Amino acid sequence: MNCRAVRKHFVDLLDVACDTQEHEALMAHLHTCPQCTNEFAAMKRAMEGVRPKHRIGASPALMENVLKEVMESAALMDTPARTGRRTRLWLPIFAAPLAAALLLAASFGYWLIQSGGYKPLSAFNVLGRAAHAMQGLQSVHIEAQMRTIPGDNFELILLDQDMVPIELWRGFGEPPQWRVETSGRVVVCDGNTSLLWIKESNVASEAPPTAGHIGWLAPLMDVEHILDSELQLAEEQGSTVTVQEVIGPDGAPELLVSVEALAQGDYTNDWMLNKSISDSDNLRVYRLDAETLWLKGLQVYVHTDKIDVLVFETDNIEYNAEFPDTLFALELPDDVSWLDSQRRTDVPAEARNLTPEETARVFLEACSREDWDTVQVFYPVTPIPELFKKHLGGMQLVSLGTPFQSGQFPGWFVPYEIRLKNGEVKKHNLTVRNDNAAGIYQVDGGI
Amino acid sequence: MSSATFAERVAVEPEVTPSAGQDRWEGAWPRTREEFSRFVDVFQDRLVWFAFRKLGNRSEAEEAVQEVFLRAYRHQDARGNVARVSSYLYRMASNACNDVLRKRGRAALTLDLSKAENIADPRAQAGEHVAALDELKRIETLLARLPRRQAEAVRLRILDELSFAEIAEVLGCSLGTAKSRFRHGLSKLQALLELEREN
Repeated sequence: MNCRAVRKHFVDLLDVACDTQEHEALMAHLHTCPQCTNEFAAMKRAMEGVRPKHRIGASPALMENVLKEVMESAALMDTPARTGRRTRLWLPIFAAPLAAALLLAASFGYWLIQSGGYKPLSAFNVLGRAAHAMQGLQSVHIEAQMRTIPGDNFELILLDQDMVPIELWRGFGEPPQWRVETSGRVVVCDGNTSLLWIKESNVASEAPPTAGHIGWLAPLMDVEHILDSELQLAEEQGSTVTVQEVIGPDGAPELLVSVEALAQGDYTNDWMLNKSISDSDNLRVYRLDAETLWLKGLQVYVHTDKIDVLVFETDNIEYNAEFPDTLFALELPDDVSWLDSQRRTDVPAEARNLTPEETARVFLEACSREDWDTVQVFYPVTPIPELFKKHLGGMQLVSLGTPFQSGQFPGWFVPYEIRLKNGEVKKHNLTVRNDNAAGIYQVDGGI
Repeated sequence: MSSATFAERVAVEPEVTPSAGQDRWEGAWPRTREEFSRFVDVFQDRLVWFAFRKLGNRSEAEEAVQEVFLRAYRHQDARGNVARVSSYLYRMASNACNDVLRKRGRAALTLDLSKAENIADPRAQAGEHVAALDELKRIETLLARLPRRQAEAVRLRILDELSFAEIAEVLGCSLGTAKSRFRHGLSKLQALLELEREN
């Protein structure tokens, strides 16, 4: 080896373990070449120059705390369906050696790869068994946690938020009824009408059951068709499905159905990336009882550049419980405000043909003047909630940015900066869309 | 007979990482309680040090690392296919530290060591803590003068004692790029250290 070749490999000699085949040759050269020796020694001195002599290590309490939590988890895994505590049910950590890993490419023609003596299953087999097993289903009650803001829409996930409790009830009569609730928002469908109430702002909306009030949770509550939906998505959107047969924490065999899905929108502007399940690359892991194929749990992880973030996790699923008659009805406060964007068509002529940016400007300037009649044209809530007036009334519009689109949202985002009455400066993106009865851009969020 | 002096021969010995004698985790993601226990044992000191140098506070570092281990345990099922456990774990730890920094409301995601005393951990042994912080402050002052990516490669190799293969995975780049960033960073560091000595 000549000097040039040796110097190219200096960095290999600085790796944690240098066991390359060239090692001997490199060292032999170094021991005979003062120039290379000096150069390499200088590199090592530089490393020593920033190598810490004092290091902080873990305290004994760390191991103790971790193992204590793990033991607690293990105890919970042995105890099905406790109320009031999160049960992490589907970690086949102690059962793994018994598990037969059956991998499936999701595409319809593939078979599960057999191992451990299990019969191969196709996705269709699984689906067929599940559909059969779900017959006779009367109701389901799901307790879960979701990483979101309690009062915001049920599509929204925010990776830096804490998990918040969410509950879902569904009756499988004809017509089907459901209720979805967090501490800040509730949607009730009595079979004919879907009624949404946002608790803090005291705004309600009434719409047909298909209006999308419950977002991506709709197919989750459709528990007898989850696999059907997922396999259809696999075909339409290129997601992949993997099925593993494992031994569950209670010793019963389970099927883990894992769906790897890709974000579905255009993220040239990535504002919406990772803000909903379908706006993220995500992993959905369903647990099914291997005998009945009833859904036992779901975890959803969003893949980020660095780690996977758990954004949804079921705590408990109860089937065929009897629900009180009042569950699918909602008594609203007398002073509730109503969102009626899908009914109102009587808008002033000057409101028509405005661009997203013009809409944002007119709307925010109207807030600034406390001209609530104009505000109501673009924010069709009657009456305008007091909380809204208190928050935005009298504020100053500092600037507007260039509108953009992101992800699957059908409207536009208009960046704005305002100064509130209390002096606080707020920067956000106003969302406007025109797929409403009036056909004009109206404010949909970002306030 | 070699023409190099004894001192030179010592200097040119290949790198011996101080923690080289310690256990390293070569296996897959732990699947049993026993494996998990060893997994914690192998990684706890390294991850706490990694988190400490990012956060400047021992109890916050331990809390972040505890959360990383618990996530690793709870969601091991989703990580069954992780190719290199150690680098994946460092990425989890890095993210956990970023969460802590975000909660502190800092705009930057790296530690401003000039403020570290303000967040010093009262439970930590004062001498150990202060010495480590002082030394880190000096090192970070030097590394702050390198291009960001080169500095991070140098930190991961020298401060965290990761291999170049691990560094490549933590940084999400190729092995060649990781080595190149380190080499260029080290070269600049040499110049800075010489300048420091001259002054």
